[in-house]
Amino acid sequence: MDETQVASTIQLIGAGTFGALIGWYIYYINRYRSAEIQLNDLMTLVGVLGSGAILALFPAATDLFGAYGIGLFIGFFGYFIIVAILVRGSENFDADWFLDGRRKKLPEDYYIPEEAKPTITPMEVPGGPVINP
Amino acid sequence: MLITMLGSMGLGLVWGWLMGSLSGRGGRLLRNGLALSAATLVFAIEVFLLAGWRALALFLVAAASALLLHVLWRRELRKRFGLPN
Repeated sequence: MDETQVASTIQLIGAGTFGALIGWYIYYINRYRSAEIQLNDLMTLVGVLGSGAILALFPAATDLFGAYGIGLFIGFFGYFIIVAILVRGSENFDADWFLDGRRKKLPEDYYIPEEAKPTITPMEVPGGPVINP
Repeated sequence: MLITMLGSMGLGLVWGWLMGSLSGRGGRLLRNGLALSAATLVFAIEVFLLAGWRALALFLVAAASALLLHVLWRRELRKRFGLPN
């Protein structure tokens, strides 16, 4: 077996998995971010998605950067697709949740604990999110 | 080579979708637009350095497509569901 090829395959899998992790986490961060976009948010995104660390990790003219990009796509849109499936399967949410976070009122015997992290703005809407109207 | 091209497209699709979700937030459209453009330039330079001009072209096309798709999707949601009372 060609040892270089094996190492290369492992590196590709590693780069792809790393990208998937970053993609998943970026969707997660963006979902729970405050409504007003800050320059720091963008700097963080640029830093995470494609900073000098990526340039250092993945040498030019190799497939490692490509594997990272594919993983990034899978992680990011994988999160989105899973959220979409969960929203579609839920009785408490409809597709309009993606617009501004609106959802059904809680029944009498349900409550949201104080420590639960709210979803602030799945997407932007003037006037802010609608949380348990 | 194929992996690099697909990866550049993947990065472009993610960045375009993110731009769509970020650009509509807040009221400072000009400032946000400039910041997003600058960030896109950083990514474009990085893709060019790591993968060459073909990958750069794919990255830009993918980013523009994802941005357009996101804007259209959001417009469709607004049309269907409108604003809350």
